[in-house]
Amino acid sequence: MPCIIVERTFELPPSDDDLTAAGIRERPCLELYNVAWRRSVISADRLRMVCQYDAPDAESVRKVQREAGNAFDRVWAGEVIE
Amino acid sequence: MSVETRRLPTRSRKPVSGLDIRLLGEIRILRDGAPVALPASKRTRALLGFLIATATSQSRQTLCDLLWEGPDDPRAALRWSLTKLRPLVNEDHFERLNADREHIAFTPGDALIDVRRLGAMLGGDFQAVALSALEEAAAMLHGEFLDGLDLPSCYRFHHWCVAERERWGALRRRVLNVVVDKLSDEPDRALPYARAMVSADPLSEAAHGRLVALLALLGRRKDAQDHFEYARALLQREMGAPLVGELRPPTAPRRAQPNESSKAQASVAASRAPALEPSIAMATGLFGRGAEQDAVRAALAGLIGDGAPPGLLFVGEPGIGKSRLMDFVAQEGARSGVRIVSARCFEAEAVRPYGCWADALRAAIAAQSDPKMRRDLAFFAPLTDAPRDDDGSRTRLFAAVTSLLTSICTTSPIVLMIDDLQWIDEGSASLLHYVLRTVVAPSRLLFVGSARTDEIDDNPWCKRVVGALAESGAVKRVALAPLGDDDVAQFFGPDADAREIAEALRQAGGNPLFLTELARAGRLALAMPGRNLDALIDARIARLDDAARELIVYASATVRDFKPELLGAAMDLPEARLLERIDRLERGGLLKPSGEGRFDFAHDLIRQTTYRGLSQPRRRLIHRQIARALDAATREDPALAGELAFHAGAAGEHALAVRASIAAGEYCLRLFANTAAADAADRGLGHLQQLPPGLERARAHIGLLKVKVFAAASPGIRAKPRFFDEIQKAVQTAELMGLRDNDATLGWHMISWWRQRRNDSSGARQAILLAEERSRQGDEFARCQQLASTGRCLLEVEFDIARARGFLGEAERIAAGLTQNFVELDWGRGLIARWDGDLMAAQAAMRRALALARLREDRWREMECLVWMAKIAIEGGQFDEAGASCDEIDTVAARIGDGPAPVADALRAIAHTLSGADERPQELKRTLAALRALDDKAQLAYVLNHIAAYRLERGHRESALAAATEALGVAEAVKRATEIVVAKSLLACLSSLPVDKGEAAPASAMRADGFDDDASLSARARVWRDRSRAGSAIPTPVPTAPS
Repeated sequence: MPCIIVERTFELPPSDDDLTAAGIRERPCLELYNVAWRRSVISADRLRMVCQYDAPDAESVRKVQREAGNAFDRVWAGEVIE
Repeated sequence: MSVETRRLPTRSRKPVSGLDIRLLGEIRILRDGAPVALPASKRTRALLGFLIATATSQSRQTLCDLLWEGPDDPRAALRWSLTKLRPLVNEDHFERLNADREHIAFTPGDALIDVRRLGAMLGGDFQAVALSALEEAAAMLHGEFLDGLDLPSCYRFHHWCVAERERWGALRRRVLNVVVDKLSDEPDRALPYARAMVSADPLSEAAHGRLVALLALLGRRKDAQDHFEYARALLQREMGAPLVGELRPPTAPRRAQPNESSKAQASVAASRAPALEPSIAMATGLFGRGAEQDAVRAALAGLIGDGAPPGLLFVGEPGIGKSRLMDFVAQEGARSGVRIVSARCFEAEAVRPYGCWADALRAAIAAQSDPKMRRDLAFFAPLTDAPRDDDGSRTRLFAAVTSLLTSICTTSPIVLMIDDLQWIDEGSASLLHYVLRTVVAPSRLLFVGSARTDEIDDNPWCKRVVGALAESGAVKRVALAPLGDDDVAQFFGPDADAREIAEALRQAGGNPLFLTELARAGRLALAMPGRNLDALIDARIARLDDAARELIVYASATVRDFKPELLGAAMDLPEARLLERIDRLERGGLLKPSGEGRFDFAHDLIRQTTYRGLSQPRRRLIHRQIARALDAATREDPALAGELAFHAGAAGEHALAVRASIAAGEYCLRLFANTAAADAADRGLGHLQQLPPGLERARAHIGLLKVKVFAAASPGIRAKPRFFDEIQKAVQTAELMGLRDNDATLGWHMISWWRQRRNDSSGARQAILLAEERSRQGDEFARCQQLASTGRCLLEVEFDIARARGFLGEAERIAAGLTQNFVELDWGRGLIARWDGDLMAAQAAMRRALALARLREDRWREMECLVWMAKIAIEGGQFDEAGASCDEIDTVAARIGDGPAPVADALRAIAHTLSGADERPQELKRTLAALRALDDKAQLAYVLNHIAAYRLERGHRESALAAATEALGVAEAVKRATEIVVAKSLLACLSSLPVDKGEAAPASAMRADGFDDDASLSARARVWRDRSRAGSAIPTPVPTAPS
């Protein structure tokens, strides 16, 4: 399954509760669109965030984000280099 | 004088009447060149500014709503203000201020008004205006519009004023830009204007770039490099985006030798006196005020000797020495062994009920061991969670404060000191009155307060409490007069020159703060008569180094004394550097510790003057950073919500300001500070107007009105009839937006309460029934939304259509009971109809969904519905309609900032091709590439299948094969059943065609087998399956076309 990256920025740093709520919101949509969340990285100042998903295409991830009302800047498909 | 610090040129024309009015900067009126004293009341000055700036007839009601919406008689306040303003602007022969029973208008006549003159000078093309005129305009545009007249509690005026400031700020930036352009050959003349550009727009990369370039051109390479580094860090921190290239590192100067101006500048800099070094001998301590000192000593002696002395209230102009006398009281009191409980009020820019009491009592509450008293006073202690089910009241809170003071009195007499009473809030004023009336041991408590004489009347709460206390004899009013000759001589010490003392006295008019600033400025200041106190403070701030100035600038934006850690967080400054800067400012006499680890300005005039020196964009930037720092702290300490609302509002962060206003209002309600709660809600309502319509705005509107309704439960607050209309409108809008949860229920409860208040029992009953119904419906509403959303989603991904039908059917049943429309439900209905091949019904349902999405400003759903409408139109052969939907998709995408939508381009290209017009292969290629780059496989499969079918029809086997093969691959990746069947059917049709010589045959013959269950296939899939089985290569339209 392709690796899809979501980039986000925030005007104000979100709290842990905010992030948990965003995760809960998108949970029901993930299965419907055949998307699986892998991991997220948040910057030290909590103003930037990158989330990694496995999904058939980037648009499925965009739809999940929009259905859940989670804001994002960019969504793109990529490869993991390890 | 150096090039950079010289004054920008000014030129004035003298009017016949000699009246010159300035609205840019602090509002000023000059008559024959001499300043006219304006009323101290801010609202009165704001009224004058508004009437002059608008220069149109205004109704009295409009002006009352603008400035006096409050518990007092607004019309009386307006009349009072007009009596103060008429003598300022009217002539014997000409009345500029005209008022009748309903309307008031200002007629300029021949008065010179800066904003009107600027309008006339800069009406046309700036480039065509002469340089001298532009320089004159730049000089006139020196300050913020109606500077200092910030009235956040009058939110209508506040927003008008902010909008005007934005307008004049933008004009100033344009003028400066053109002036710098025109002075490109004279960099030394252009430099002050470039600095002004940076000050006017600190986040403009272009402005910083020009300043760096000019400094480099003048040979000031280090300055240029320093500014480059500073600006780059600032822009990257604030904008969070890469620079666009307008700010570049300084290049080598074209001129090797510094010019005369820079030489002169260097010489001036070298000869400048050391900062903060007074050149006149300045003694320290309290000067003069012998009678006042005696009164203090007598009062303290009475307190210690059980003489029940009356309190003292020092009144006088700003800088006259009230706070210094308060310090004297504290020192003398401490020496006499009495306990000092002190605090000051801050200008009511932020809602902070009982602010001065919370500050004064914090230590005493912390030391209390009685759990009941601690609980009753928990509201005053930060980070203490007040009992949520508490049934307390204002009286109990007041009684607890009185008990606390009484218990302290038993061990030691108390001096209760409150400075700057002119800014006291309603709650604090009522509590003060209560305490002084009810304290059990009045002989053991001495109250000492201070207030600015002319500003007492501006604050109804201050006016009331001061009046009541004076009338009852509880306090004695002590008016502070200007210092006399002897006091001033003592102030400067025995070595001072008599002529200089006389000159200082003449300039300062006996105001001690003015004298102090003159002494700090040194002899040079005495040689430059005509400078006012603000100018002296300004000059002192200007002499600070960059680091200290930056800190004091941030501190000036706080609305009260500040915690260093808050400033550190806002400025992103490590603690050690922060404290070092604070220490320097404290030693320089600009800041002072204010207790509890906080710092305050040595005098509020220093704060005001520093803040006024900032441009509007810079203020916004600073407020934004403070708001960010406060936001996290507010979650722990709700008492900070009022400050957060103020800073977020000043930063133009309206959503945050609304959220904080609701929190501040709710906090005030918990403290029984209903007036402050209503004030917070009004401020929030002002910001709410700036938010886009939508569910969140509707929800916030109800939240703010809830605060107002609860606050209006107080008998002291009169809510207006139109308030009821506002509640009703807000509730209806919220329901239209689909709000059916607790907030909607609350809305109907508020309407019921209002109707009861107006003795409309039947209306109240009706509203309460609706509230009950909404409460019951809340769960049903959420369930319906959830079912419709899941059903629609399953249809989108073409998975388990039977279940999707079931969900949508259930949602439909619930929606009928709720008499409510849902976007998701109509969207789902449209998709089912399309699945079944009823394109007419699909189009109708999708139109309804689109209309609902638009009504609710739900842009994403609006765009999705438009995409489906375009596809349905293409499938029904309505190619023009499909093109129109694609155009609308572009419009919506632009509105939400997504830029062009590749799916719209692709569908438009398909519609164009299928309409029989010329095929545009390049356009198709480009749109397909865009869809691939976007990685939208479902849409890509749909478009490729249409292309394959079109080419199959025209016998272009190879390209049809390529398109269908790719379509199949991407459709399988995203498991879109219909496109898989269509692609396989197309490939089957292609494999059945005879292969021409030279053409490649399909790798393997494809058959659209295995799709026998009609119920699991969409109408479109069934048509293609049947066609491939019949061996027909030419597609025919799907069964039902929309009209």
